[in-house]
Amino acid sequence: MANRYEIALVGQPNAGKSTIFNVLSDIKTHVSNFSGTSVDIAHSDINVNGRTVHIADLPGVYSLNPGDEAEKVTFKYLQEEHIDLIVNVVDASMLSRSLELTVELLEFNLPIVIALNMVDEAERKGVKLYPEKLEKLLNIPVIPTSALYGKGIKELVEACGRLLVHKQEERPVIPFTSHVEKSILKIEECFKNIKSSMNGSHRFYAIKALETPAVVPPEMLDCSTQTVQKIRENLEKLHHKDAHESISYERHHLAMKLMEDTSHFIDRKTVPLRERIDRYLLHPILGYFPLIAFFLVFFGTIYFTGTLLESLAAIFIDKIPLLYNGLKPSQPLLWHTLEGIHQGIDGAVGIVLPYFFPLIFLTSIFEDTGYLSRIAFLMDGLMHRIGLHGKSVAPFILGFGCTVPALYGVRIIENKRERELTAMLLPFIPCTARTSIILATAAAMTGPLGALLIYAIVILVIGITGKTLSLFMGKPTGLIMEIPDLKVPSLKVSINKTWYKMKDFLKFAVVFLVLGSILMSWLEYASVNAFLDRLFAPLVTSFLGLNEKLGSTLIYGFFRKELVLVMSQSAFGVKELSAIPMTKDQMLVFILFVTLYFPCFSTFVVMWKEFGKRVVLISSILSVGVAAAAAFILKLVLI
Amino acid sequence: MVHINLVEAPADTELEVLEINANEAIKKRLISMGIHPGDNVIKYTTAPWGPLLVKNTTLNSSKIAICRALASAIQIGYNNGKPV
Repeated sequence: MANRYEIALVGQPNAGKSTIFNVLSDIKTHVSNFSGTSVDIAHSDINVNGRTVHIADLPGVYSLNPGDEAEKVTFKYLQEEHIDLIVNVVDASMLSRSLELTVELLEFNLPIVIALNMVDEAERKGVKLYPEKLEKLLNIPVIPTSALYGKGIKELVEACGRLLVHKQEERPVIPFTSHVEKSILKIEECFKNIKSSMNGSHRFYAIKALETPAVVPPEMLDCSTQTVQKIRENLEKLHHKDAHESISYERHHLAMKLMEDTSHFIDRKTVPLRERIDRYLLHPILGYFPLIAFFLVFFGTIYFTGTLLESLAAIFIDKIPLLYNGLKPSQPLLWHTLEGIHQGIDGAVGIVLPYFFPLIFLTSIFEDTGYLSRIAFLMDGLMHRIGLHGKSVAPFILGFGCTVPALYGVRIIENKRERELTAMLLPFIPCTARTSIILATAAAMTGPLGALLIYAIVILVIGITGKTLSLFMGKPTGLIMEIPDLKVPSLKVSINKTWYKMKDFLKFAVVFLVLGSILMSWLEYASVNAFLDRLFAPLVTSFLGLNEKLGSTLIYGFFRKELVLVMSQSAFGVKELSAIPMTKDQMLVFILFVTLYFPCFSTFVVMWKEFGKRVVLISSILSVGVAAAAAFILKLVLI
Repeated sequence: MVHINLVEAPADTELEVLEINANEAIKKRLISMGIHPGDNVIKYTTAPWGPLLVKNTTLNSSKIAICRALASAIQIGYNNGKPV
């Protein structure tokens, strides 16, 4: 849009970009795509001096040499989108490493302002900063911020406002040492008459031609491949190392020099408390105690809060049918429509929301503490046994919320093999919808032990399936993962995040659920269920030994898993779960099958989009097969 | 002065990263995350299982978890408990 300014937030992972974004969005006019995962671009429009400014929060990158999928997303955005200003979020507590990216962004040469974030954190770590010196050396605005507490944000917005109106014409060119600089200038000379539609200066691409040729626009490389090759070979001969290493050395030293000139370190005698706690959390033996406690508290809180909220919601939702029940004999179609709406609301607000709310709130809090990466570290050995590594733990934990953001979360894994394997195992993790099915039946029929049994089987199934699949997928690659410093989460930020996700859920899921339930209620009216039941009878009745009437519920479950319970109730014409004419053991077999069978519609679509039809096809066949086998074995054991 | 790989290196001792013997992609990733040849690091892990925990003390960066296979490709040097 021509009339709108575009700002891109760029920084290394855990530099606090998303926190800055969240605080900025507080003065928003519109927020969308609030997925909560930092592997996707979050967008927001904010108001700066009466002008609408669009902000894109790009996934964190260590450098502009895209390695994993999230880094590719950021690099593509920087190259291809119109950007008026880059806000480079720099982690002040790790100044030198963060400034390496800043040096690269200066090479890229778009208007830029630095948000020197986490200044309080840096001081806590014993780093004294001189932002004004950095500003003077780089000749670009440097705004100290502490986004978690909202400090410096006003100044940052003002600086952005000024830079958007009075365009920053020039950025400093930071020269490399003699040999490298000469090589860069020679390549730049080759590129000088080539116009590219992509963002990024000729100097940036000249450096990239030596460092990461894959990102240089083809029109530049095409006409100078041989010259570049010769220059690279010369440089490698002179420095006795790969050209990319020479470049990274140069940036490393530039950044260290900048750090030395603009900050100093105060040596401290004692180990800070957070560091002492962290050593315990990461301890190869003792670390598992807080890990187990974490899982118990996490799922325990969700279970107890969920059941409480569910019973509260039921008081109101169960009264709704009283309003229209009288219509059933006289206007059956209208009654079915209203009943569909009621079931949709019951599914969303009565069954899913009570568990969804505590889950996303706790996830928001724990995401901010940095504990998730500690879980990944501790679980790495176990994950290796199923052919994955620790990084898959984060999508798995997100998967307990919803498989869809978890699938996007897979992007943080660098290797295709692990990405695909994680994606194929993700649909087996019980999401909120399935958690609510498991917990609701546990509360009504099977008891807490039933729920634990289902979870234990699911973990076993994931382990066996992962191990089996990994045998066909070659050797796993190794783990490299940052363990960000422990932080005290901000309640305000967590509440905000929870609120946006709830709103998102209520806006989309409720509409979908209500429309779906109306459609299904009509199908029931048209007596299609009997046909669907017969279609699934071989699986449901002959194979799993369950009542034929459950067959049609599986179709509804494809669209939204939580509908399975609502539809089971209506299939048997009962008002409560406990009234369903099934034994406890039959219920367990059915719930296990429902938990594992087929990815839901949204998962199906996103998986197709992210991984292609091959992965979707394998995942679909796999999940039906695994679900049937697991439920059959459970039937043999129980019934 | 001792030249060994990171897996064999002693824990809680300051070590210097000498060289990374890995492919370009892994080298770039390790370097960009702070495992930079020429810098000093400390290894925290003492357990003979699980990934290693390493912190760049030159940059005072956060900890990095590296699996054993990759860590064995990182050559380090140290001298009487001091980096070279």
